[in-house]
Amino acid sequence: MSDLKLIGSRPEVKSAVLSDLAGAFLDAVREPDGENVAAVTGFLTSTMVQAGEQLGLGALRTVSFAGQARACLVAVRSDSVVTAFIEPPTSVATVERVLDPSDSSPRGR
Amino acid sequence: METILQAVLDVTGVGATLVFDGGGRLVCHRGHAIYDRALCEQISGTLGKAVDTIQLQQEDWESVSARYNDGKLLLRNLGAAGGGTYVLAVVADATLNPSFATVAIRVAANKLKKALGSGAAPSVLAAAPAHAAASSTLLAGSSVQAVGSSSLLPSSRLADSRPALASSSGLSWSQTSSVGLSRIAVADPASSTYLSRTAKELARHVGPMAKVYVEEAVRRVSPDAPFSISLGGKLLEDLAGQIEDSGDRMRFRQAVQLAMQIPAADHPRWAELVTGKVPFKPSFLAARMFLASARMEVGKRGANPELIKKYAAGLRDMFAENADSSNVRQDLAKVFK
Repeated sequence: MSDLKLIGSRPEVKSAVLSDLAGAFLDAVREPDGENVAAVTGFLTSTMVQAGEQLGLGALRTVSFAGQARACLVAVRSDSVVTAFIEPPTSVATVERVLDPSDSSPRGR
Repeated sequence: METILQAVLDVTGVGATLVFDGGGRLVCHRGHAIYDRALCEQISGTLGKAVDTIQLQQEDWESVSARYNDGKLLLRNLGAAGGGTYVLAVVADATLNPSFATVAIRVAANKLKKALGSGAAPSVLAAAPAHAAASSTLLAGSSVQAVGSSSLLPSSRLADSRPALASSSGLSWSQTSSVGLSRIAVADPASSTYLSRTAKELARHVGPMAKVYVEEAVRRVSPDAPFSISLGGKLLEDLAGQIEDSGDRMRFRQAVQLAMQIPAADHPRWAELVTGKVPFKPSFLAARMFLASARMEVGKRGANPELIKKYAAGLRDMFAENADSSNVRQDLAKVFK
């Protein structure tokens, strides 16, 4: 099952978008404005990759940001980016584990 | 504010902690020696762009967590204070204990909000230029004093300070000969640009120690004369030899060579792009967004030559930093055909 379908089936994921690393829209689940989300995510990803390179932190795996009511998780793959909007925001770690089961240790999150 | 940041730095795994404002300007930082002021200024600018982008998606964001293979970057929104907005950033390695870090960051954020609300930030910002050199000092200890903290340092130490390597790119090189440990004499501006670009590309593979490695390599390849770009090939081979992974070594060589093929920032085509005189729409998304923003700014304030120059240099830097992207290569081929 693709990452998009995998997380799209989670009840806490309200919508999700699949895009490429340059910010081009590929697919979406319950997201009416996928192209805009893909463009913003693409730019955010490139900026965070740049920050990681400046700091010597290695390859970017995920970016998440949270507010009072919802959170957003961006998972970076070798050739694509999956963006998921999550409610409640405290469920980010759960969705992150679904996307990256290898990172199940508490110290790794 | 330094005391508050020090408490976060004391958490195991934290390498640096800094506060920057809504414009991506560094307000204050504490960090281990490699996270000097120049690097923190550079990273503040980059993270400022990231925060602007996040606000497009979620205006009420409170925290950001970026996970990398070798560490984490954590941001906390400090909100508005004294007429500006501020963000706390924490750089950590893989040994970070997330639970401890969460508590320490929450405590620090609350204290910083109070400090910023009471007007601490403007005084820190005012002190920044005068103390820039002191803040990048590699002192005997493992931590670096930040802006405003130089009053805590003995004057003899200040005299021995490494020069600030800050510029718009976060790196700069002295054009004057000097016997100082960190001063690299360069023959001309092109040689300086070459060193900055090489250090930036090397940082992708070795992290913030890149500048130190470049300085050491320059001393090896040009021990008695100012560094000249004619020694670029020799310097590149010296540095590449220090990268263990053969794939990374090859990518480093290619990236430096590609970046140096990009025309300099004073090439008229860059200015034509940012002013819209050449109505080019790049395939590279970041450049497209940059140009949209630049054209709005230039149009709003009139054709101010300094502003155009600034955007032209920014656009050139963006292409140089991403010279290995196929979209960037396509765009450059079209722009400079």
